[in-house]
Amino acid sequence: MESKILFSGTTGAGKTTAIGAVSEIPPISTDVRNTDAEISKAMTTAGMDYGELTLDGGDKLRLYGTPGQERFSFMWTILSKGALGLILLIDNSRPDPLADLDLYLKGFAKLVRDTACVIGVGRMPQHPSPALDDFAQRLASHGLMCPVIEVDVREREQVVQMLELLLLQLEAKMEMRV
Amino acid sequence: MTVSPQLQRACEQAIAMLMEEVKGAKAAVISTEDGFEVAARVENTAQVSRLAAMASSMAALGAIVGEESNLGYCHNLVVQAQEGMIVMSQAKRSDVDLILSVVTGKDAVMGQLIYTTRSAIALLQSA
Repeated sequence: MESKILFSGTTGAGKTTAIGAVSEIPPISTDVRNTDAEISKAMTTAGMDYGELTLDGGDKLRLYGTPGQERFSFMWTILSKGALGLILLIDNSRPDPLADLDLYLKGFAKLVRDTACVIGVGRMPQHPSPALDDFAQRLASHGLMCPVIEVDVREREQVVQMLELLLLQLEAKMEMRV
Repeated sequence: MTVSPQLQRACEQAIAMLMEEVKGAKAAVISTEDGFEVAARVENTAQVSRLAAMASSMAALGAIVGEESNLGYCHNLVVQAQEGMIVMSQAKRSDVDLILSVVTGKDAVMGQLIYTTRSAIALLQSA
């Protein structure tokens, strides 16, 4: 079985890094020079990232990463087509991570409602607030229940764990519908 | 995003040239490669900031498709739609790479559009 999985979330949260950490092919990247002084990184994704991963059970995942900035939200819509699930990466060092969560839940409302979603929160050791419970409560206020985990996207095992959680959640959703 | 006054002037010159010389030109937008508008002129109410961001994504995708297909550097992307064309071209510079997008009606002539766009790119690259 082949599945299309989407990575999105805040600029600098590590979407390109996460896909690069697990992809078994050289990841395809469309990074360009960042000219936005408000973002302290040299490169930013303008189109999409792409990678592939085969899980132990033989399921092949096609991994797509979106640009993070809202001005690229048309790419969110394009890349959402046919996706079976969403991994949302939140950078907890940003000024208002819960507002960031709101933004992406709104931007991917249909995908989150129709498929599965896992929230990965990064840079928690240095920025422990908001806590995972705060994210879960914010999700509940949207009428959603998704796994929320702390993640270091540089670590392959942690990214794989998010993907496995996503597939489990997807299976549970499909069973509920049968 | 702010560019040098010299480059800003060159962008405005390039936009003026395209709008005057390209048959059927409806809009011309110059943006940074990460999607910020630098200069623009539009005939209708087209959303310039949206076009700037879309051109950035399209150019990035065109570049990677060219590379993955071993076709080398991507000069232009052309969208031929029912009511006109859009050409997106990249100006490579040492300080900032720029994307030039020209939107035309269906009366535009592809060869003339590409030729004039290349002249505008040369202007941006030498500024």
